[in-house]
Amino acid sequence: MASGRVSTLETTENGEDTTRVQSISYEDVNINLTAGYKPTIVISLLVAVSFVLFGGIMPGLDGGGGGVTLMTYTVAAWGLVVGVLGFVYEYWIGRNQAITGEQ
Amino acid sequence: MRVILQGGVTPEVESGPLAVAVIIAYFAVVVGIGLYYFKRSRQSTGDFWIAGGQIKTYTQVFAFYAVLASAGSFFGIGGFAYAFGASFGMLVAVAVAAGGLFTMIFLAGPIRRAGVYTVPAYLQMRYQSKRVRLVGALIFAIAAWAYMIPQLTAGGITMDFVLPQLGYGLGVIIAAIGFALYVSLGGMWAVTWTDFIQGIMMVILSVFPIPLILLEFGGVSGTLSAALAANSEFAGSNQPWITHLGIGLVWVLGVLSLPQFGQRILSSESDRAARRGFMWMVPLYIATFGLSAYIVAGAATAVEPNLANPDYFYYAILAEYFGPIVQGLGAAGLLAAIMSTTDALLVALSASISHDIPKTLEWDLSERQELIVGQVVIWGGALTTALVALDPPGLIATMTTLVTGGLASGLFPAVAIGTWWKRANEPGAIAAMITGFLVYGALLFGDVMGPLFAEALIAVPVGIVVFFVVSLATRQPTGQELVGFQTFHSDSIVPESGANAGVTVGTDDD
Repeated sequence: MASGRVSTLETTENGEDTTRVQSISYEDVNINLTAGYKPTIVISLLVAVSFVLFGGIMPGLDGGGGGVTLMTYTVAAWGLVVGVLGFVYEYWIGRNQAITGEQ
Repeated sequence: MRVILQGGVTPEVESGPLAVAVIIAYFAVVVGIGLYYFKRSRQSTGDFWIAGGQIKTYTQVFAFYAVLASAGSFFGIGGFAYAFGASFGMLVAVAVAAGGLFTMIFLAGPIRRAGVYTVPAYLQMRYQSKRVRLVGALIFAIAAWAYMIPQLTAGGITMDFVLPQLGYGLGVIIAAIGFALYVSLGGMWAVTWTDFIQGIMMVILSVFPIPLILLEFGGVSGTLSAALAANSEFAGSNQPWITHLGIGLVWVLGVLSLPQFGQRILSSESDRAARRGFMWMVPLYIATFGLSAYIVAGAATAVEPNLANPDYFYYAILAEYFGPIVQGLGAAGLLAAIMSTTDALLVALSASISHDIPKTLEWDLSERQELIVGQVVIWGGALTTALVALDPPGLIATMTTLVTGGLASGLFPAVAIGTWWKRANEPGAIAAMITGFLVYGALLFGDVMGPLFAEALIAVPVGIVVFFVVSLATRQPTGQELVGFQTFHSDSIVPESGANAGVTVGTDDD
C-alpha cells in the first residue's frame, strides 16, 4: 500500500485536529491479504450455515411441539458450534499474524 | 404484544429488611467505585467515554458478559423458556452469543484500531462523511433510549420482589435515579470496574441455584420431567418456525450494532484484547443462560406454573428454595444485570447526543461543555425511560429483541459489511441505514407481520440489498475516502494513550 500517515477524525486533548489525509488511490487499498480477511469470511459463513441448519431447517423438520424434541438437541449443538468457532477464529488469525509477522 | 399474564402468582421475598440490606450494601460498593473514579473520569473525555483504552482481556471477558447479559438475558431468556419453551430460550441464548461472535470477527479489531470514541464516529471515519455519522448517531440515540425501557422494567420487577409494599412503579424510579447517579459520577472507568464485578456476580448467580435444583428434582432428566408434567411443551418451542428464524436473525446480526458495545470495545487495551474478551465470553454466555433456560426455568415451571409474569421465573426459585439473604443476593445480581447494561446505554446515549451530533453539526463544544451536556442527557434519558417503563409495553426480552431488530435492520450493512467491503460508499450507507430502519419501523408499528419477530426477516435483507445496489450504482470511493477503511485493517497501529482518541498510523508495511 502507499506510504503515508493517517489519523482518526477525533481531536486531541488540547483540541488540535489530528486529521491528516494521505494521498492514495482506490486500487492501493487491498485488505485481501490481511490476517483477518479469510477467517472473517469463513467463520461468519459457518455461523450462518449452522444457524440455518440447527436453528431453522432441522427444528422445522421436527415441527416443534411437546416433549423433548429434535430442537432440544439441535439448539444445543448450535451452541457448541458457536462456542468453538470463536477459538478457531482466534487461532487462525493468530497463525496468520505469525506467518506475516503482523502484531 | 402485551404478554404479561394477569391474576397469576407474584413471588415475594421472605424478609424485606434483610434482602434490602444486602442490596443496599451492593449499591454502596458500586457507587463507591463511581466516587473512586470520579476524579479520574474528569481528566478528559477519553477517560470519561472509553476509560482511556486501557482495559485488559480478563476484565473485558466479564465486562462484555455483563454488558451483553442485560435484563433481556437474565430475566428474558428464562422468561422466554418459561413462556415459549426451553428450546426457544436456548435458541435465543445461542443467537445472542453468535451475535457476540459476529461482533468479535467483524468489528472488535477494526473498531479498536479506529481509536474513536463511538460507533457513529467510526462510521464517519469509514465513509469520511459527517452525514453518515449523523444518521448513525440518531439511530443509536433512539435505540439506546428504547433499550433502557426493558432494563428499568426489570428494575421495577426486582424492587417489587424485594419490597412489594413500595410496588413496581417506585422501584422503576429508584432504579433510574441510582443508575444515572453513578454513571454521571464515574463515566466509563466506573462502568468498567462495576461491569467486571457484576459480570462475575451474574455468572455465579445465574448458575448457583442449579445444584440445589438438580438435587431436589433428581438430576437434569428429573427436572425436565417435572417441568414437562406441568407444561407438556416446555422442552421444545411453542412458537412457529418463522419466529425462530426471525429472532435468530435479529440477535446474530443485531448484537454488533448494540449501542453499549462500541465504547466497551474501544476501552480495550488492544484489538487482540477486544477479540479475546469476546472469545471467552461467548461460551460462558451460552453455558450460563442455556442452563438457566433448561434447569432454572424448568424448575420454576414445575414449582409455580402460574406466574403473573414469566419474567418472575428466577424469583420464583429464590422464593421457593432460599432464605432472605440469598434472595437479597439474587436480587442484587439481577440489579447488576440491569445496571451493567443500563449504565453502558446511558454512556452510549450521552455520547451520541453530546459528542457525535455536535461534532457532525460543527458545534464547537469545549470538553467541559461536552461533559455538562453529557450529564444532562444521562439524567434526562434515565428519567424519561423510567416514565415509559412505569407501564411496560411487553415482556422484557420481547422489548430488547424488538429494539435490536431495528438496529440490525438499520446498521448491520453500513457497520459490518462496510468494514470489510471497500466498494461501499456514503450514498449506499445512508440509503441502507434509513431504508432498513424505516422499513423495520413500518412493519413493526404497522403490525404487518403475523408471527413475533418476523419484521427483521424483511427489513434486514432490504437494507442489505439497498446497501449493495446504491453503492454499486454510485461512484466508487476515492482513495482519500478509504483512509479510515485502510486504518481499520492496518496492523501497525500505535494507539495514542489516554485521552487522545486519535491514532497515528504508518501504512508502509501493510
